[in-house]
Amino acid sequence: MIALVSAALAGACTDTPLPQGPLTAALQPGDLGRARTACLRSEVGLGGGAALVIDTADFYGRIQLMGTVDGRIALPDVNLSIDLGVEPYRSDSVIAPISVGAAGLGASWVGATWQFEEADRSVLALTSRVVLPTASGAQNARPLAADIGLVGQYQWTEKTSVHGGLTLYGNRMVGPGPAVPRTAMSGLVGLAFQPTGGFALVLDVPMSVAWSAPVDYLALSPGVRVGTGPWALELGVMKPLAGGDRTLLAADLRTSIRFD
Amino acid sequence: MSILLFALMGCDTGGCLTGEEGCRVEPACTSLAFECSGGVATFSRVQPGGVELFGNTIVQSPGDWVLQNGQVYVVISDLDHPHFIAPTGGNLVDVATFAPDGTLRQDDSLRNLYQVGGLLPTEAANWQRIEAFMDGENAVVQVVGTYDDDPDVALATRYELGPCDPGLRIRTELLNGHHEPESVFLADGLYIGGRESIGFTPGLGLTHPSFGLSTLLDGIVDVPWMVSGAHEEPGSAHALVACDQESISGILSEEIIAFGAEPRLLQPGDFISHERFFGVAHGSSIAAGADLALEVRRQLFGEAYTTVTGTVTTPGDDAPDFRAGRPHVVVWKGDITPDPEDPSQEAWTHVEPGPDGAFSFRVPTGGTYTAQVERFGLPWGRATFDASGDAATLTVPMEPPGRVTLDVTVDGEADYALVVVYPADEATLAATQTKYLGHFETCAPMLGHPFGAAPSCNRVVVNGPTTLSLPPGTYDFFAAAGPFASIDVARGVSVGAVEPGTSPQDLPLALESLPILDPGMLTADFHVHGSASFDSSIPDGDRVRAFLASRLDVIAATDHDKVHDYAETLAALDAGRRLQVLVGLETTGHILQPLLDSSLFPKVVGHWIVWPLPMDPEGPWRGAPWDEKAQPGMLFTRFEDQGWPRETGVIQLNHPWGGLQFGRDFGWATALEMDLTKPLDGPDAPEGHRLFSSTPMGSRFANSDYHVQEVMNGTNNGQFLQYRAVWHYLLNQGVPHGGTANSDSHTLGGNVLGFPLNVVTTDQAVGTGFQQATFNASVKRGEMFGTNGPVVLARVVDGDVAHRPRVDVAIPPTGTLEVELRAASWVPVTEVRIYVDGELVETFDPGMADDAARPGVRSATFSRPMASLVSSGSDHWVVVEAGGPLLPFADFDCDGIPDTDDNDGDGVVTPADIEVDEGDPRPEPDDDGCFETTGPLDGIIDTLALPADDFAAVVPGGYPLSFTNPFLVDGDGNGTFEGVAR
Repeated sequence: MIALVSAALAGACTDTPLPQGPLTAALQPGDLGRARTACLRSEVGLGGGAALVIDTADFYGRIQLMGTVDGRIALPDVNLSIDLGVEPYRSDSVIAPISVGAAGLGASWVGATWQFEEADRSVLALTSRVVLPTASGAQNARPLAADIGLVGQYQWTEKTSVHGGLTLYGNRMVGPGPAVPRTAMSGLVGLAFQPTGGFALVLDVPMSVAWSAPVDYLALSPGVRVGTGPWALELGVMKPLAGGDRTLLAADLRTSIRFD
Repeated sequence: MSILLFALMGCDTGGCLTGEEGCRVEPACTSLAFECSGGVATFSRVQPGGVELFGNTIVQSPGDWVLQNGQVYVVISDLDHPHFIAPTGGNLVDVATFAPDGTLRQDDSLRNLYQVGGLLPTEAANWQRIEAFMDGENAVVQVVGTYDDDPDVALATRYELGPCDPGLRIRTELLNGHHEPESVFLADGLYIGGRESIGFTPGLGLTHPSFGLSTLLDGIVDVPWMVSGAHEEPGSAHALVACDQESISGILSEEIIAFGAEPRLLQPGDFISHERFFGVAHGSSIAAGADLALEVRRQLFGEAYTTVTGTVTTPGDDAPDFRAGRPHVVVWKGDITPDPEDPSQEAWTHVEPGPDGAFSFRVPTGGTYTAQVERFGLPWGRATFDASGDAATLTVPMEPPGRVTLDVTVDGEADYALVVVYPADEATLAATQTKYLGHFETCAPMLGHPFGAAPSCNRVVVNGPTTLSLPPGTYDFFAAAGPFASIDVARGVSVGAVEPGTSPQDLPLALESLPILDPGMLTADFHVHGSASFDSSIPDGDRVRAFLASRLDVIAATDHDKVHDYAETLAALDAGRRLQVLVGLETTGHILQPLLDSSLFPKVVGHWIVWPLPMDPEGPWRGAPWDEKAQPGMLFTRFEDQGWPRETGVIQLNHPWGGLQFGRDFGWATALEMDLTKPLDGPDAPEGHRLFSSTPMGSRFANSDYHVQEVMNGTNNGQFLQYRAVWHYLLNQGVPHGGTANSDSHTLGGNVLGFPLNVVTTDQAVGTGFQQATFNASVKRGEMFGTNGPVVLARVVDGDVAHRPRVDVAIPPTGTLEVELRAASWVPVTEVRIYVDGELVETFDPGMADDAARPGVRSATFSRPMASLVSSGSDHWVVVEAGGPLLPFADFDCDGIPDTDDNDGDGVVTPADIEVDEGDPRPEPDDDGCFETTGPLDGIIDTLALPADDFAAVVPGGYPLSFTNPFLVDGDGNGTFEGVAR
C-alpha cells in the first residue's frame, strides 16, 4: 500500500491510459489556443466534435461537425513529445436568411511539448502548435495559426490533480488579400478526480481574451474519462458562460490508445 | 516556427479591404473590348446648376459623381446622398445613354443599384470613402466601406468605364473580418419598387420562382445573364453579366432584383470578389439589354449569337398602329406553342416593335426558335425561324385589333373624363383577361401597361374624341368624372377586328356635373403618386389628365421619398385654374431598424405624408429629407428642417394598419404591434403603445404629433375596418385626429383617383387666391368627411348654434344631430350607421329618394336627439357612416382589430374563413378563444368578375362608404374632450 501511494506520488504524470491534463473540447480548429497536457505520452487518437451557435437576435446560427485523427510520440530522453493531427472531415453550416454550408478536409497541425521542470508531484512544460492552412472551402485565403503556452500539472492528492496553463495564440491569412492578423491569450485551470485507474472526472475553467472581444469567453468545461488497458475514451463539453463568443455548446469525444 | 509566426502577426499587407489610403481595387472584366470612334471616358462631379439628367426617375444632384464616354452617362451618388434601401451614397442612381449624334438621351430607368453581402439590413454596403481617378484611358470611381453598422466586414467596389464601353466594369471585394464564418451573397441589388421594371433571365424568361424572406433559397436561380427592362418609354434596359464565372446567381421579384456571386460560406479572414459587366442599352425591351449581354458572353466565353431582324404585319388593317395594345414579341427556344404554365419551355428574349412594326434582337446561335407576338397581353401571332447562321429575318403576322372612337362630353362639352372598359359577357371576359408579361394586376381587357402611360389596364382618360384599340369582343364602356357627376354607359358594344375601308364605331357618352356639394366645400385627395415614385411609371401628362378627369379640386402630390410638383405639366395643360396641387411627400421606410425591444425583427415606421414641402429641383430628394433610420418624431423634425411650416403644415399617418412588403410594415400601428384591447399609456400599456407617444432623442416632435390619419385608403375598401379600428381606439384614448379618405392612386390602373376623396369645408377656392394655410387649418380641425360617393352632411344643432364635426372642439351633450345624405343616382346608399364611442348604436336604411331640387341626385335626411346617443357625466364621440352594408368581419386574434372577412363566401365569418397553406393544420383557438393565425381581410377582391352594378364598375373592389369626422362631446362639462371613460 505504501509502495503504491509512493508510486502514485512519484510524479504528476503517470502511465495511466487515461488522458491527463485539460480536456480537448475547444472552439478553434486544431485546438488552437487551448492549454494542453504537460505530460509526455505516445498515443494515437480518433475523435469527433461538434459546436453550436444560436443567436436569434442576429438571425445567425452555426453548426460545426468535425472528425480528428491525431498522434503523439514521446521522446523522454529529451523531455519532448511531438504531436501531429488532422481533421479529415469538417462540416460548417451557417443558418441565416441565406443558409449555406461547406464540408471537406479540415485543419491539420504539428506541435511539440517540452517538459522543462519535473518534481515529485508537479510538472511544467512549454507547448506549441502550428495549425496549417489545409482546410478546404476557402475562397481566396486560408489561416495559418500558431500558439505557444506554458502548462503545468500538480498531483494534489492521490486521486486529484490540478492543471492549468497560459497560452498566446494567433493567426494570419495566407494567400492573396489582406493578412487580417489576430492574436489573443487564453488561460485555463482545471481539476481531475480519478478515483480508480480507469475512470476520471474533469472540470476545466477556460477563458480567452482579445480574439474577438475584450473577453472572448469564460467557460465551464466538464468531462469524463474512462479506460482500460491501453485504451481510453474521453468526453468533454464546453459551455461558455460569459464573453462575446456566441457558442452555445461545444463537445468532443475522443478515443485513444497509449503505446508507451 | 511559432515564434516567427507571431512576429508576423503584427504585419498586414494593406489594400482597400483594410481601408488603406490610396488603395486600388483591381480592374474588372479586363478581357472585354468595345470599339467605337473617338470615345473618351471621363469622370466629374456634378456642380450646382450642372444636373444634366431630367425626368421623374432622376435623383442626380450636385456633389454626385459622373462617369461618361459618349455611350453611357452614369451617376454615382455622393456618400451623403443615400437613396431607397442603401444606407449611404456611393451607388448607381441614374444611367442614361447617348444617341449616335452625341445627344444625351433622357432614358434613365434605374432607381438604385447597390451592393450587398446578404439580405439583412446590416449586410448592405455602407460606403465611407469615394474617389475618382483615371486608369489609363478608363475613368474610375472607387468606393470603400464596410457593412452597415458592422465595421468588421469590409467592402470595396470599383466602377470603371472605358472609352467605348456601353456600361460599367464593376469589381466588388468583401472581407469577412469576423471571427466566425458568414453566409455571403455578394450581389448587386436593383431596387425596382414594384409596378415598374421587370427582370428577365434566359430560360425562365419573365417568370421566376416566388420566395419569401424565410424561403429565399427557393428563389435563387443560376443564369448566364440577367436583364431588367423598363417596358416604358423613354427607357433603357440594364444587363448584368459575370466576367469571372460562367453564371450569375440571384433572385427576381417585382420589388427587387439581386444578382451576384453564388451564396457561399466565407470563413473568418477570407475574402471574395465578384466581377461583372453592367450594361446599359437604350430601349424599352428586354432585347436592348439581352443583345448587349450576348455580345459580352461572346467576348468572354466564345458563345455565338444570331442577329434577327424582322417586322410585325397586320394584313387587312389599312391604318395599322403597331403600338396599340402594346404588342411585344417573346422568343422561345424550339418550334413550340408557347405555354407560360410549361416550365420546360425556354424564353430567350423579348422585344417591342417600333412604330413601323420593325424589331431586332439576338439569340444564341443554333436551332429553331419561335417568336410569339402578344398584343393586349394575349397571344396574337406566331412564327418560327432558324438561328443557325449569324443573321436571320422574320415576319410575324398579327390580326388587326378592334377599334372604337369614344366621344365623351361633360355638361355638353368635351372635357376630361375616365372611361373604364369591361367585358360584357363571360366569353369576352375569358378571352381577354391577362397580365402584362405575366406580372402586376390582371386586367380584362389589357389596353396597355397597367401602371404606365395611358391607356392602362382597362382604363383610358379622354378629352374629346379618342380612338381606342382593343381585342375583339363585346364590351360595356363606363364614362365617369368623379363621384359627384353622373356616369354614362354604352352596354353590349360588339367590337370586331377592324376591316379595310371602315371607320371605328363611334360611342358618344354624356356626363353631367351634379349639384351634390354645397358652396364652401372642396374635394381633395391627400395621397397621390406619379412616376416620381419608385412604384409608378405613369407619365406626368397622363397623371395630370387623370387628376382633371376625377374633378378633384385639391391634390396633394405625395411621391415616395421625393418631392415633385407637376408644375410643368400643370402649366402646359392650363390646369391651375381648376386644380390646386399641394406639394408634399410620402416617407417610405426601407431600411429596417431595431424598434421594439420585445420584438425579434427590425422594422420600419410605416408611411407618413407631409405637406407643404418646398421643392428643391437639384436636391438629392428634391426637397425631401432623408427619411430612413428615424422614428416618426425625428422624421417630423427633418421635415421642419427642410422647410415644412410647423404651424400651418399637415402631417398625415397613412394606412395605419397593414401587411408587409419584403419585411417592411405599411402601417405604423402594425410596426408598434399595437393591441387595441390595452391602454395607450400607463403601467399596463405595451412597449409599442408607449413608443406611440414618445419623443425620440434629439427630436423636436413626439411620434404622435401628426394631425390627421387615413381612415379610407384605396378604392378597395377592404382595410377600412382596420384603419377605422385604430382611429376609433385613439379617439377613445383621448387622442383625436381628423380622419381622411384618399385614393393612394399610383397609376391609371389600380386605385382610382377620387375614390375615395375628402370633402373639406373651407372658404378657400381653387385658383390664385388659394390660401393653403387656411385650407390646411380646416383639414387639421377635421372639418371634412371622407367618401367614395355618398355625401353625409352632419351637424349638431343646439339652439341657434350649429356644430360641425371637428377634432379641436368639444360640444355639450345637448341639441339634435341632423344629417342630410346625398348621392349620385348610380351610388347606392342603403345603410346608415351611427357610432358612439366606437360602438354601433343604430343602423337603418335611410330611404334615399330622388331629390327634386337636385336632378340626378338622391337624398334623405334624419335626425336624432343627442340625449338619445350620449349621456352626461363623461365624454363621448359620435361618428356617422353611410353607404352600403359593411362586409362581415371578425377579430379572431382578439387584439381589437378586424383581421378576417368572409373568405369562403358563405355569408358569415367563422374560423373556417381563416386561410392556411395547403397541408397545414387548421388553427385552433387558445383557452380564451383567440387564434394565432388569422386572415385575410381584403374586402372585395374579385374585381375581374363582370361588375355587379354601375358602382362596382366605376369603383372596383369598393362598396359605397362615407364617414364623418367625430363630434367630440364634453359630457363631463370640464370644457375638453379627454377620451372615453372605460
